[in-house]
Amino acid sequence: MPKIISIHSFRGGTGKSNTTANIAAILALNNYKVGVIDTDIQSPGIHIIFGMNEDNIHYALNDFLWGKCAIEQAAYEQTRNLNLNSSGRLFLIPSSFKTGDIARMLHDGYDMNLLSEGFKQLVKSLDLDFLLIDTHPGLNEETLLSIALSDFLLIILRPDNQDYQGTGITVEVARQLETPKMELLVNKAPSVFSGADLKTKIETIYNCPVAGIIPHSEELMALASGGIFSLKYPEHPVTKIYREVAARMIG
Amino acid sequence: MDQRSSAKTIGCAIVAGIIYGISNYISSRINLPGCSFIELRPQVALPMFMGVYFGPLAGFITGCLGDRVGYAFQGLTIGYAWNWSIGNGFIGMLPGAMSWLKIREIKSVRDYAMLLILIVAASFLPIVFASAIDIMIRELSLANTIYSLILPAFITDAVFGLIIVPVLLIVAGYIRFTIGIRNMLLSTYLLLFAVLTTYLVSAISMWGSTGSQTLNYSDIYNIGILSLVVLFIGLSISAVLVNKIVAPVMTLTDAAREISGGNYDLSARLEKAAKRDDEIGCLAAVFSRMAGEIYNREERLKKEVRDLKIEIDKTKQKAEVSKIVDTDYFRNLRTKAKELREKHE
Ligand SMILES: Nc1ncnc2c1ncn2[C@@H]1O[C@H](COP(=O)(O)OP(=O)(O)OP(=O)(O)O)[C@@H](O)[C@H]1O
Ligand SMILES: [Mg+2]
Repeated sequence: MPKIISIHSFRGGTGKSNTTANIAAILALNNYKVGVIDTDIQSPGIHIIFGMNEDNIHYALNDFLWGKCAIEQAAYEQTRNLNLNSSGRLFLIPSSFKTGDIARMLHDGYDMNLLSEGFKQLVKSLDLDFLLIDTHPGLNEETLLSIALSDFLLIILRPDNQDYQGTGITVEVARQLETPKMELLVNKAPSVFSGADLKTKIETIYNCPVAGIIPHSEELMALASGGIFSLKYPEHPVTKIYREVAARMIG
Repeated sequence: MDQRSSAKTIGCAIVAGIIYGISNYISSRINLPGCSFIELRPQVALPMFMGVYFGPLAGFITGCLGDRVGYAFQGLTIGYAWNWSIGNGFIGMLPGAMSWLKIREIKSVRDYAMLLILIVAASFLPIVFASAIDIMIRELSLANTIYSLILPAFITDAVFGLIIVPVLLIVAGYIRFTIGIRNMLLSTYLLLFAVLTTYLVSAISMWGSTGSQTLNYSDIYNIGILSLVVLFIGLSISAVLVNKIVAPVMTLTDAAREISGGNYDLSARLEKAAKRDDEIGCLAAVFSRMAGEIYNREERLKKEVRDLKIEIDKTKQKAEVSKIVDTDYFRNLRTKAKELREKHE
């Protein structure tokens, strides 16, 4: 059965887009058909990690929500350009990053039902095993919808007091939406943090499993969202953690 | 040496023994003009090397077999000068004490000093042994034996052993080039050639002034022994000095290794080296300070993590959550999500 997975964080800049892209690539390398959809309509970003720009995007998620195209028409296959040597496939459904489109979306809004319809159609027409949703930080309506439709919610947080409070809210809200599976991923942990210690602390506080603790990585930082880290550094410890998280999603 | 199989060891020793024997035969025919009983035997380094590299048994075989082979070329049978064959065996066996001392590779000044001592011992004791038997059996006079047998052989064998054995061991990869060893090699060869030059110059000048007929060999041997004593003292001093240079460097490298293993608390260990008034002292002081800084930082951060408290304001959280969930949108969403999931199952 196909799985819808939301990757979320209460605050911005936690590493949602990078985590989504890496996990998607790992799943595709494991011969799964994977879709990645950017529902961060206000501040889209994941297309950059896949190296997409205005020239190679014709339709985006926005066009589907405005009824201009079918959702598959906004899906761009990345399998070849990432050189994934597997029978898996990877599709990206970007959100438009033209400022006009973003402004119009914010101003006019869109039909939420259409978004959930879009997820369903996408899974069906591309015959996906996994649909990964890269969300906007905070708990706006499309994020709530994504969480509600998800089989698995991955909440990313940094070990930072500003993140702890918001994560508590997200966990509580997701519980009320009865998301079948919810896990936390700690990102950008300083190297001195002993993993086991932090993990138990966070698991007790939120009463929710921690899928992994990713240290703050100079290499990831230096890549500057210019590519998919796990493909570039397959032996890196951070890649190993991404793999473990992906394995938990496969279940 | 354990991994070198015994069959291979003995095979090598036999080959080396034959080479040693042929060289013995050749060198016995080449005499210095006018000094019929000075025999130059650079090949003596071979059994010594075999002893160090392959162990005492291999050294003994090389020396003993080689001696017999040499005699065999001269048409002499087993019974001839058997004591000298055993003596030659001892020349190879004594340096084999390296393996008894558990030295498998020369990597410290101490190992290297041990090598030199064993080379000198191997040039001396076996000849004393063989000569003593000659004295007993052939009733040679003691003074005659010392001046015609022991001293000439000892001086030339020791010099050739000291010059050649380290070279062979370097070629065989038995010597590791640590800073200490490099210094020792340097001082050994410098001293050796300095002493040798003085010895040869004085020997030649004596020869020149008296002529071979009236030359008093015992004077030359006395000078030779004196030279070896000087060499020994010089080497001992340089070993002590080199150790003084190397010891703090070793402390530093050990400390560096510990740091990479995660132990930063090194100030006590580096204290002595850091007090030195030279470049190494300066290096040790800087190193110790840096390690200390890292250590303090690490401890501070570790403490911070230990004290890390994840505090969540529950009332505030409740308020925020209810702001979201107590909306029509949310209630609708929840029902819809439930329906969807039930449909899937
Ligand atoms: N483990 C890490 N170590 C170091 N840098 C990281 C790590 N994870 C992510 N980053 C960096 O953090 C920045 C933000 O990452 P990313 O865009 O994936 O976050 P985001 O949550 O999607 O942000 P936004 O909320 O703006 O969409 C990027 O520059 C990324 O390279
Ligand atoms: Mg993002």
